[in-house]
Amino acid sequence: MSARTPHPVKGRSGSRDSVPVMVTGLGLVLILLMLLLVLWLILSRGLAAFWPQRLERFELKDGTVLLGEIWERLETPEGGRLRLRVGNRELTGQDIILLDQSEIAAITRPRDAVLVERNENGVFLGWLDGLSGPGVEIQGDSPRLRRQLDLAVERVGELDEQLLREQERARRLSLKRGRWEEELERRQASPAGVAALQEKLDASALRLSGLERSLDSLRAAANLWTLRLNTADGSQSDLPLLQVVRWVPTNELGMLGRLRLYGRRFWGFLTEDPRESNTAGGIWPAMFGTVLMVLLMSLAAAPLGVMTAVYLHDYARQGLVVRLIRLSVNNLAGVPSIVFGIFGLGFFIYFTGGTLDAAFFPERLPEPTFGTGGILWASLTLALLTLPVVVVATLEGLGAVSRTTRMAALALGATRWQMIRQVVLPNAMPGILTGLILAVSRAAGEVAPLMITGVVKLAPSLALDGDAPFLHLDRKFMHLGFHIYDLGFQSPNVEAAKPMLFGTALLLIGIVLLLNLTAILLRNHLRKRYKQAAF
Amino acid sequence: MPTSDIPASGRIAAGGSFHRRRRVLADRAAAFLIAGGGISVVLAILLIFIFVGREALPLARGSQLGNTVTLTAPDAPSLLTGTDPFQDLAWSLDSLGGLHVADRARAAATRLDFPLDSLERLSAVALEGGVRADRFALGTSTGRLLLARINVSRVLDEGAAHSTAELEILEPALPVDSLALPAGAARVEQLTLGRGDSYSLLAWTAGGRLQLALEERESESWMRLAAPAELEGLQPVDLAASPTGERLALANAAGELLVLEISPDGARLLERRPTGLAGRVTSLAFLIGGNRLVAGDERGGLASLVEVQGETGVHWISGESLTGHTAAITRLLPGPRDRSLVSLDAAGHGILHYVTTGRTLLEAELGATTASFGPRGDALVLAGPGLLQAVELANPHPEVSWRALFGRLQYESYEGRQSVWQSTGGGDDFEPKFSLLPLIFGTLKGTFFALLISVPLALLGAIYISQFAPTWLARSIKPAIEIMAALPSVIIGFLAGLVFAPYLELHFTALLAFVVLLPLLILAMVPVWARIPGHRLGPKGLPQLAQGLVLSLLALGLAYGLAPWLDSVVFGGNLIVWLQEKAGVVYDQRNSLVVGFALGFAVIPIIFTMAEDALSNVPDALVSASLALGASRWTTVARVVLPGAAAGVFAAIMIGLGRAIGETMIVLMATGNTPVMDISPLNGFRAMSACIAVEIPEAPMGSTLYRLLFLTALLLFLFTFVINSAASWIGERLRKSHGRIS
Repeated sequence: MSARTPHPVKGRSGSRDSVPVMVTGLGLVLILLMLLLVLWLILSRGLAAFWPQRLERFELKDGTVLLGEIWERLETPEGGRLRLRVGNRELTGQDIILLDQSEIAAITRPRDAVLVERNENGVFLGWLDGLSGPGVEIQGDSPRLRRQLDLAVERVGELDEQLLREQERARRLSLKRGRWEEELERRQASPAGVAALQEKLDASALRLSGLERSLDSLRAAANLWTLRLNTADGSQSDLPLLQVVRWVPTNELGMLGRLRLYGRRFWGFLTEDPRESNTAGGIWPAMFGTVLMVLLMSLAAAPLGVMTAVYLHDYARQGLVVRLIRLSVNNLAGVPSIVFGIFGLGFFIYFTGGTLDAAFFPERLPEPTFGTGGILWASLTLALLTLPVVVVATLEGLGAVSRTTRMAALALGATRWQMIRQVVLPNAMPGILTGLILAVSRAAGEVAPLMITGVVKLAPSLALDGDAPFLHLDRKFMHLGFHIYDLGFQSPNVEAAKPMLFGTALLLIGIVLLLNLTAILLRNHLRKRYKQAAF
Repeated sequence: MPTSDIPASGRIAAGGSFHRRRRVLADRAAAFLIAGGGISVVLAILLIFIFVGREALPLARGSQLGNTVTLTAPDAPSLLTGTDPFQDLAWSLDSLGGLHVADRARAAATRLDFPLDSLERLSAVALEGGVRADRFALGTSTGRLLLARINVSRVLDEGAAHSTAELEILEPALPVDSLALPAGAARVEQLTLGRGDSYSLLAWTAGGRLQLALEERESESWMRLAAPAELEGLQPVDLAASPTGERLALANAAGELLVLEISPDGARLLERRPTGLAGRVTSLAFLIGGNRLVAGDERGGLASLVEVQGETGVHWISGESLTGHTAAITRLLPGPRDRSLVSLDAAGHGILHYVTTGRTLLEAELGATTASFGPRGDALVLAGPGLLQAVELANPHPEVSWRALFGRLQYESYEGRQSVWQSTGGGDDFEPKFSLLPLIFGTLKGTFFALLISVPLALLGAIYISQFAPTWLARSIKPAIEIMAALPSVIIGFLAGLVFAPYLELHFTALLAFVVLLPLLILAMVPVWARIPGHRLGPKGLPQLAQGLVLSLLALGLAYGLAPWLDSVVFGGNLIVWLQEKAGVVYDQRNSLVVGFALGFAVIPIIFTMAEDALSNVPDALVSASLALGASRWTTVARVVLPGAAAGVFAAIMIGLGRAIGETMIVLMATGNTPVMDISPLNGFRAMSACIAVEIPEAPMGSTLYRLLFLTALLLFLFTFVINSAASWIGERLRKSHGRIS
């Protein structure tokens, strides 16, 4: 692949030539228009995903009253339509509706309407009408209610955090107890230490029940708080405050307030766990899974790719072997990703994993440990898939190290390996890094092979956590790309998932483009050096 | 190096030699390791090929008989035989009502007896649904009907399992007096039993007349059912009830086959047709599902029929032909799990067929007069005078045959022979349809539309950038194209499926108008430009690019402006509705055009980059020669550069083709994934890659579906392997020939 810069053909030309040239230009124009359109779509809708919309009150011609956010204006042959989010899923069954513009009699923007973000059933839209809790009983919307509500949300939030901490403690304790019980069973044969173990178990049972009691009391304390809201059609609804994430008087917020809310939502999107079958909350586990998978993959792909490139460039003699390797690299780059996936399933999961299970985890069979999809197998599959990317970029990096540099090293008495390790590889580093970055970018966006080697829509726990042995290579994981597929095509409520969908897509594209731009810059740096070295 | 006489340097040398040895060792180890790493890439691709192939290979293996266990056999001829799921026991029933149960583990046999009168003999037997050897009906020479059940219980003691059998006899409370037969003619001649969820059907002939009885399962009460009037005087030579008792087939001496529909409301004749067999029918059997029927005759011929949904309702037509025997067919045994069938002839020869495909899976001299499948379909039990054997049967992938994968077959309920992919369905008696043709067709269709959109755009763009663009533009376009290549396919797919597809449905007319208007506008502008003085191709092709931009925006604006008018005036309101009404073309929201755009978008950067490379690498000497001879710039490009780069451009298209064939997420998300074979660009398809992604998580390891998906992957691998190898071969040759010129 030569990097010759093209230069325009200079010569005689007539006006007749202008048209075919324009047609070729047209091809370029259309390509660029498509690219811009795609980038613009992702950027605009991704950025708008967390923007607080105004709440509008719609009076329909048939007398119905709705409160909702306008999500989309559709132009159909039958006339204009609005896609509204009206929330309150538990009352109406549908939180997103299509409304013909011809049905609307009046639209107003009530200042005092609020949006309540919840843990369950999506958002609630309505008007504040009361708050009750220990020592607090307020009727009707008033500044006092709002002040108290803020305090109460904070208080219940603290209770909730405490609750989560206790739950985590209880979980760990029962995990430990599980191990002790297993050990006890093993030791039944030889009574040494059984008594001590039994004692430990008894004590921990006591602690566990204590924890459970405190959990119950925390829950009870949190459940004392309820928020009363009026809906647009005049009915009232009581929400347990434990479900409330935050409440927002959207229509009263100024630009700054909306920006601040936007920031809070975006931060929550990055750092929180998903809620409500992934249509709300954040994507933290998917980001974490993607990064961890990509790291594991790099550990496998980088050494192998660099070795292959070094062998091709510095060791192998031109001949059959080199041609065979080149052919393999080219083909490895061209094999469809789904074939890698099915290979990973057949070879890594069923063959290797099955063998490992039979050898090391026979007590758990037929429940598979490594004989089912997991982050290790997914990473290895992707390592194979991205190997050619590393090889090709490393080859370019090796080519940038001039012959004279190599000769100089050899002339100083270095062996071939010393030359490679101390002179060639450090100088080829930008190339290797370029390859690795491109491989990572490819792996971050690849979905098909992951779908069958260990990605899930919702992983119960991260593959890296505080439980021994900390890194759980057999666990299933979440992935940004798969998250997009799952949200858009397997979610029960695709419309409600769209903000999350565009947000995730923007994040993924951002990561991939950032990685690619870095790679491009690195490579340009490398090429500049290549030119200098050629002297 | 003189070292030995100078001690000081000797020490250094000694140290040096130690170092040297380490260095040399390290060097050798590194060389070894690096060579290993290099070779591992070759191994990786081999491993992929071997492993994917290894999982698909068992499909090609036929069915086989395995270990034979011989059990103590009764001397009497056998009317019926059967075994339990583990082949611990095998039983055989003789006409005196003696049930001989042989135990494999204890090498012993017990005998259970049916209570028959002294002169009473068993004259007919029928397995429930034709399949279950542990539940059957018996008819006696005195006109009695019995239902019996063998209850097998398996006990595990001290690691060794064995089974015990116990006989349970239920005499149906039939209103026998209504039989009203002449004395002495009550003997049950033929008998069959079907059992559905709410009704059981018992049909028999006595004195040459058909008798029907139906049991309501909830109340366990039997009622008689009158045979249809058309059957008056018909002398059935054999009967068979479908497994659920909803159909009854009869063969008569005149060589006709009749199929009745049975319901509590009565029996209705569905079909009456010649069997197509030369001899008298000796055996009839339904396969599971009750939509296929096989008849065997006294000359060894076999005919299969299948129920299809015609315009006038349900009727039966001939299915695939089955390999015949040379002696009279004595038994037809349908498989309990799939549409396998064993036919036995009077000479003891047995053939295992798969009726859907007509494939002969196995032929063997069984030497038995009766036989039966094990309940799991993985064994055969054979019985005859002095013979009782359980034989393992490996029949893992009976559904697969060359014609099933790549041809057309008459499937149940389908009109005509078709290639269908439908791997799973409701219920155990679903007939799997494993034609790969719709998947291959889908892949090719998607690839075709992708290339239709990407090849012209990418090639035009590459020609412009490599030949006419100023350097700064070419330099800045490349990163843009690289970014385009880096866009994850899942994002392209989701935009196509969730944004572009609904948008296109609303603005389909505008898109069509744009495609038509753009070339028209170009043609219209040619004479205009020719008149503009000074409108010439300058050293930089920028004005042309600007013209292209203006022109495409103009076409876009015109298309959008015209679309509502076109819709309302020309197409009577809506193009999509118009298409469906006038041309019968159905518009799917996620159709092949959407895929074409999305997949094309993904392939453009690949073709663009490689084609641009090939075009800019045409040796300068050729270009200069052409220009020196007075050719204009466009003439040079068209006559010299393009032919010179043709092979490279071709390679670029091949690589793009390879990528489009294997792309998964885009086709998965932008089509409806229905495996139809229809060339219309306005409906969807299911591609091989998407099919693998969707179905492999559900496919049990080792099942036919699992192996077929590996076969699909192997095909994809081979497709792309050939394409990529060819492309890299072309590239190499091109480099060499260009190297010679410059």
